[in-house]
Amino acid sequence: MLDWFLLPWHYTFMVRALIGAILVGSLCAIVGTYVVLRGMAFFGDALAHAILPGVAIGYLLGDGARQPLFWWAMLAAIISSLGIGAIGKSVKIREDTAIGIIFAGMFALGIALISSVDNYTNDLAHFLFGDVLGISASDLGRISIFGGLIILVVIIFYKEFMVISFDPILATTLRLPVKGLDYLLMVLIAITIVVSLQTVGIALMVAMLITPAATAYLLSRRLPVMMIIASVIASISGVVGLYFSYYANIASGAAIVLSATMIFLFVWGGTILIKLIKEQRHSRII
Amino acid sequence: MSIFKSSNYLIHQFPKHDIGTPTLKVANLSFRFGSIDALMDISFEVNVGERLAIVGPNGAGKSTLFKIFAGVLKPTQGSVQIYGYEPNGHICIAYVPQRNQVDWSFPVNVADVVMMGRVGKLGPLRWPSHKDWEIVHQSLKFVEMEGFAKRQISELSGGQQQRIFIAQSLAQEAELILMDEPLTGLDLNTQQDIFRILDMLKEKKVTVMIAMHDLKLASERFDRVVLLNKRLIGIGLPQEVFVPENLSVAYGNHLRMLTTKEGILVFEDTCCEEGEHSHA
Amino acid sequence: MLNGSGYKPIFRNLLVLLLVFGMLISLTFCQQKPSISNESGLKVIATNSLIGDVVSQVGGDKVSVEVLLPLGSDPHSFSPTPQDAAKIADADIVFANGVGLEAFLMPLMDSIGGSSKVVEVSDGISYRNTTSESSSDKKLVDDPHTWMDPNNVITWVDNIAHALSEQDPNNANYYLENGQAYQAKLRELDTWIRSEISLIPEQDRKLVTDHLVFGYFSDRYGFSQVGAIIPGFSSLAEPSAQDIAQIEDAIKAMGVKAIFVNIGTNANIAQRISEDTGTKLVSLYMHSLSDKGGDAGNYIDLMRYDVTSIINGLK
Repeated sequence: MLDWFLLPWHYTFMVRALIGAILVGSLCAIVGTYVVLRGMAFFGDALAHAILPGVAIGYLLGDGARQPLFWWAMLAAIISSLGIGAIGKSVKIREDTAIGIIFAGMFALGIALISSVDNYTNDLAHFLFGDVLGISASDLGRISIFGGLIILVVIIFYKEFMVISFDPILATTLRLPVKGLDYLLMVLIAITIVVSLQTVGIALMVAMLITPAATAYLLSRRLPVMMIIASVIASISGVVGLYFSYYANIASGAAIVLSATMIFLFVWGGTILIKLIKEQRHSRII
Repeated sequence: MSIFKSSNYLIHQFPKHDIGTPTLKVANLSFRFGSIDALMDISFEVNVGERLAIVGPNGAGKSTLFKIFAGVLKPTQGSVQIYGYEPNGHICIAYVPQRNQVDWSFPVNVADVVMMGRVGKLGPLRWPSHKDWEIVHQSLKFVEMEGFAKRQISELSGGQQQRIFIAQSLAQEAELILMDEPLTGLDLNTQQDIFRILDMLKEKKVTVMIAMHDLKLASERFDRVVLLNKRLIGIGLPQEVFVPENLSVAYGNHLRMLTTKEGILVFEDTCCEEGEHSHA
Repeated sequence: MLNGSGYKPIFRNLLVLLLVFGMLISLTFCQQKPSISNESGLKVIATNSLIGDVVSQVGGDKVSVEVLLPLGSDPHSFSPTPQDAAKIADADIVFANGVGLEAFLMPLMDSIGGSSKVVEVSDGISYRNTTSESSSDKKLVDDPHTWMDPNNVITWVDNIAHALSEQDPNNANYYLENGQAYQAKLRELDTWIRSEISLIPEQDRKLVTDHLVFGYFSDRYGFSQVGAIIPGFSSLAEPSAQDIAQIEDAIKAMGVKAIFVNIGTNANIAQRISEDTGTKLVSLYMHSLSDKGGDAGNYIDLMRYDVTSIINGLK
């Protein structure tokens, strides 16, 4: 039985995948806390799709090498986040339509660019669904550095982000630079997405941002606790997902997301059950 | 990190308050949103420590007026001066939102909410100090909720919810508190609790303005009242402002008046309004 | 501060985005399709550059050859364009490898109508097969990589000469002579390979590749295909975690010294495996020639390059 547990970790590539999944999971969980509390799931998904042209350009110019891909994706992500954010702030009616049109168009542009290269199908699949088994030590280094920077900014502006998320009007009366902080948060989400791209891919990115955080939301009453619980759940999803993908021979990114979703459903079901039991007891007392 | 002064979010310092000048001076204030005139040519003054009721039907512009005072919106025409300066330059103005506008499921407890009032003074990188926690504690004590510090905000009653926002304003060291419909939906006893706290604020010379519907309460518990429906219909003592001519202008035909022995009983017909907010 | 207007910033942002991406779309219009053409004579299509080379060796200046697959592209994932369809419609003969390599070809021929002009150059070779190792289906699949053994290419030449002679009987002798001359060179190549191989001790004659390409080569020259990162004949699949684990185990158990990958395919996972197992990562030409002036401008150069690289990798 112990063998079964330990076997995958004999292989260095699995250990790297695990470290990557935990680092990325925790980062997405922390940033994802804001995504959940501020209702930015659509923004997150749109942003993840909108960076594909940037990834494509990096792919074309760098011949598939990891480094240029990363930096071009980063550039595209930051520009897109500010652009989508600006649209959200200026168009009063039907902003979701405007954002939807743009991100779908950019996604299609990305696919068009990538498909111009021969042998593109595998690489496109990696961008969409992740390539966690192919993570290298230098990729992990990049994830750690940028992840660390993001967490540092979250810590520095912790109080400010909390105020703008809970009560933007209070933030204005306190003369906080609300717009600047909004944009800063969007840029943090953008960088998080780029850093996490290799682990889960574009299609599943929004799940890593919101599912562990949504689960933590059900289990916590204070913001720092919510972030910690979200990170723990994301890490557990990473471990379970990798076991799942190893023994069942399924794609790792999808397995991680499925694990996170199952944990959410379990917790959500649990809270509903507890509520029902409490109501039963209450009505019996009356 | 003392290089970060309390006013580090702005390049300029916050102005000193000359208690001689009126707290609030509004001159020809108008606000236009797209093609809609929300407020038209409003002028009045408020003095230190006054407690004012802003009364009017749904859509009268009460919330908009408060948001302009708080510095959240900019007037299209006219001016607002707080202690002689624009609202934008102060952090002593607190806006207490309507309870139904607040996200009560946000993962914060009572102490967190009150501490938020101090964030303007703290600046980034500075963590709340012992002094800040003292102020939070004192603020909670003032509103008689010191035992609730660790309570999650979703577990509070209506009156308690209102009081923590007053505590937040105190922690902010606000000198002008604008409250949007704080008494709506509270039972009489709870309302009295709130007024008791407002009386204590009056002693501290905090200026309070409350937007409300309840004409009776407005006429009983406030120094002066403002009757508003996009325009300033009347300002002054309740018995001077709440006269039938003014009330008809303010409420149109949504008001029914019944003359009784004690005075005029006024009924507001609030069905089917398009207001700037939904009526609870 | 909020106010009522603010449409200008979006339009500006959109315009900038559009300009940037418009410029970059122009990057896509760079393709390289080789064609060894002559003005007169038979119009012939070869699906890949290897076949194209052999056909032009036989056809000489009496045949004009056009190659469908761009250099470096993967036949397993190729999708033909309408332009390709037009070229095929114009051609007299279409030379393909067959054995399931060109999955795109038969549907295309069916829709154009002209399946009769397809000549499978690997016809007549006895195929290796194996059960497809990818978990789900256990069908028997034939290995299409016949060209890795020069002796099979000798058969190619026969098939090609025959087809050309049928189409153009006047020049039948010409084709025959060219064919025989080329077959002599192929035999020379075979001899050379055998002598080079002898430099590698038996126990090191183990090949690990990105997909199973060297079947015929291994049979002929006494190698064993220890495994492939993608356990199958096609490069389209993704290796699962267990696939990678198994390859690493095999490499360690068998003492394999090098991993061989196809030039032009994304070698990311192969790189990770070679780093983790301490083996060399060597790039070979598997499906396509290089540029004319490059290391593998024709079939014989390709085999020389590959064999030399294999020897160096395993020494």
